[in-house]
Amino acid sequence: MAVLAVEGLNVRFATPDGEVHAVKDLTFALKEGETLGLVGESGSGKSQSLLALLGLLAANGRVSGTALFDNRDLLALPERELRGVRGRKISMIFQDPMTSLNPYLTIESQLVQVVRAHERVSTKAARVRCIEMLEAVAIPEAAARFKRYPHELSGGMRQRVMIAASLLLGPKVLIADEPTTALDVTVQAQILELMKDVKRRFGTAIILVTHDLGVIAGLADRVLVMHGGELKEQGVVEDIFYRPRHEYTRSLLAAVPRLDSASRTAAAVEARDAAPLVEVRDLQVHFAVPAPSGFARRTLKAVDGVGLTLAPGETLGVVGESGSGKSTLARAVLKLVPATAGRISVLGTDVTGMRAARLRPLKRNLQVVFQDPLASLNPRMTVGDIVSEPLWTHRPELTAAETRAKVVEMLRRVGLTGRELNRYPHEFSGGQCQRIGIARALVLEPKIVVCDEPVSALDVSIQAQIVKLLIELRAELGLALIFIAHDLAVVRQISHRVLVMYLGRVMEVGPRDALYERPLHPYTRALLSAVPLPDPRAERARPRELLSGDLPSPITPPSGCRFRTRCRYAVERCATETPALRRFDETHVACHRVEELAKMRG
Amino acid sequence: MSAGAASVTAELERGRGLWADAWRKLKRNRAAVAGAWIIGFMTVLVIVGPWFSSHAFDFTDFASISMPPSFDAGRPFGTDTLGRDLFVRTLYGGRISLLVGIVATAVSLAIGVTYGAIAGYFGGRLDAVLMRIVDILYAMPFMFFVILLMVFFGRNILLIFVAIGAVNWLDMARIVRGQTLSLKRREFVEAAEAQGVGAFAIIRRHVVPNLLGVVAVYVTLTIPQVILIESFLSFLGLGVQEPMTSWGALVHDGAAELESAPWILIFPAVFLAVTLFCFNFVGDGMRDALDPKDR
Repeated sequence: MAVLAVEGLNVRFATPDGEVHAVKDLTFALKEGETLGLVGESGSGKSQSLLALLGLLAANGRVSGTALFDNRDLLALPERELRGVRGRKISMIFQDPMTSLNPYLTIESQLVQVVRAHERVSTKAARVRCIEMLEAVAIPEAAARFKRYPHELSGGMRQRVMIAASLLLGPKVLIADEPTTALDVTVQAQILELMKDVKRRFGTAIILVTHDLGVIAGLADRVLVMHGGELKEQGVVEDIFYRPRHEYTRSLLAAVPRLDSASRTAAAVEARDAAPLVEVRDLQVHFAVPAPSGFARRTLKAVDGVGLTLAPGETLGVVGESGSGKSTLARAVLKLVPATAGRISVLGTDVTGMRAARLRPLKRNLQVVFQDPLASLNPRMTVGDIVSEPLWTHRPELTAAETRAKVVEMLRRVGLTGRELNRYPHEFSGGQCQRIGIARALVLEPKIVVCDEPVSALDVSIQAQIVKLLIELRAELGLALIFIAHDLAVVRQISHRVLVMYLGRVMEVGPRDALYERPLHPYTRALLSAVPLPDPRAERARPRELLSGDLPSPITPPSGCRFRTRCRYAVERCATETPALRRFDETHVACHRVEELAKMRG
Repeated sequence: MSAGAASVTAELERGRGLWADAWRKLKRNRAAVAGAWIIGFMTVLVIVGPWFSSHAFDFTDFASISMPPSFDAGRPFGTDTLGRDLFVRTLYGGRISLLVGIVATAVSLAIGVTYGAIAGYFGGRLDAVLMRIVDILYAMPFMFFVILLMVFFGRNILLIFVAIGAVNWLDMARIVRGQTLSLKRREFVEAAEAQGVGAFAIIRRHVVPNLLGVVAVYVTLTIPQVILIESFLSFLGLGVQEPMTSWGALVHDGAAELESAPWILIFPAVFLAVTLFCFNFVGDGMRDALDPKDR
């Protein structure tokens, strides 16, 4: 039986540029206790259709159609009655738990308020129920955490609180809008496990909105695929993944980078013996942060003893969760942040203490691509000027016509037409902006490009295009890349070697295939096992090495091995002695027990 | 494609810049457009108007003292207590008031933007020193400063520019510094730094163009403020030297004759008020048009 039956749902927005038809004739049914996955890229209308059901559209939105829930049409209900449904019978979890929780109220007062707004119970009874629910979502020391403010909890804990809050009133339908997108992959794995558990125990029907096909593969029973406001395909999860009928679904599946399969790129680089382009030794980058009380300052050790080398033509992938120091490492190599200690040399020159003016000639060979494509382009400059700027700086001898010819050629090379010179960044899509950013980085034909999360702000299909472009350009121009990303699957596609960071230190570094197929460090293994595979059978069958807890604060990292607080193999020695990076087989691993672990694996 | 840069020029796509967007939005704002027209008209009037009058601004006609407005007599605004033609005097006063407003604002714009952008971009000790200087100048009482200037150098219209400019650029510098601080953390500035672009080129290409929106709004709100300060100084008798005049000075004279000859107050006061209103409308319009959140 259907809990929720949506028919002919249309959402239109009136904008100054005309009407936008965001959702077109969406029809679907949600069965009792089932998990319905709603997949689509940005602009597919997946979030808008759910907001429309709950009457939460922006003021310029208009809805038509019917949505039967409890024999009532949600779309026709007056706001007052809809409020009774919302939260009590249909509840929602959003992407960012911090913005959904009021920072000025304790968890207790917010949860108790939820209960008492909908039911006539005493504060005391409500409190008991809330604590029970917090325990049910596996929040350790629930009674103590209950009195805290949202900012005192970690991202994963906050999302657990949100899930608890949404389950408090025993809703029939739970809508989860990108519930794990803002979380790190190891925490995402915990939340996904929790949601599976919720589904089993409470029998709530779940609508799971996400762009991540791996999440869908693990959790959903049935899947709706949306694109451009239209429902392209719906079916059982196995059908969607193994027997997709619609072309869009097929292209979406093809675009998803796979963690579990070897990629098309050549794995090894020949010129390993050549002098490294970049060499980093024992790099430390520390920041002073104000202490919570008093005038004393504490030190945040963002990068704490990291070494790496980059050979000509090689791509070094750097992975790690947020707070692992991977971006700081990139910034230090680019000399955007000063190194506290250690040595960085670029093209054989020690740049550690070098002043900006002397560094400039080197920067011609060391360029960067940033994460947010739009934010990294100056909104007041034309595309032509943006791509010309590196030439103005490093090739002032070129005439205006020569500069322009180079810019046009570069724009064509990154897949644009070359006619965009007079246009402005905000007129382009995210993927096009990233192409412009890449053109800017490559116009000088540098030897090294640092890519700081270059695809993580993009949709899956755009991501695949950009990665493909980078791989092509790398071959054409003989680039060496330092490719920083939190997405392990993307890193596997593009890298020759991979470096795994945790809390400012290197855990493991080695050739890509060795590291992905035979991970040795417990952290690498946990990280790999936490990534959801876009393959329902494999995803549901494989054993998980779930990590408990969250990343410790880099201000007060654990003694000895940084990973020991979350490591299931930790022994006493790990707390007293910091493991050095040692060679084992093909990789270098920083773990005391690597030999035993390798043997255990067999 | 073998075609050179020349053929590329022919087929370039036209861009739609943020300024063009803002301009379009500004044009939709009726109050701002009307304000801009009135300011334009007022500017032309105060420059051209006196040429068409047969009266000189400083000619004292004892035969027609405190004469009420009369078109027949060729004195549309009447005369003041010394028999000077009020129409011509109002327009002359407008010249001074608008000139003070625009020149003093331009001075404060030039100094404030440069100073604030340098302080904000370089940061650290330089920022601390530069901004403490601003703090010290802020702490000086404005009136005291003006009186001091008058005592040392005598009454001179140039001193008004100096005094007002010296005070107004402080605000501008603070605003620009704040904007620069937040711009400095934006990725495109970081991208330029990573490319090896020099500091002054970054300020010129990346920082200043991006804070001009805020500055433009502030400028349109500063001009009326400066006109008002000048009026205030003139009202206190510290402003322009007789027989030259400004709107503030005229209002001062008129206020004394409010009961016997109200037109001496009313005409300059209306001109002053309308101009201030219009500048504020244009400023509000620009603030709305340049608001980055509303796109």
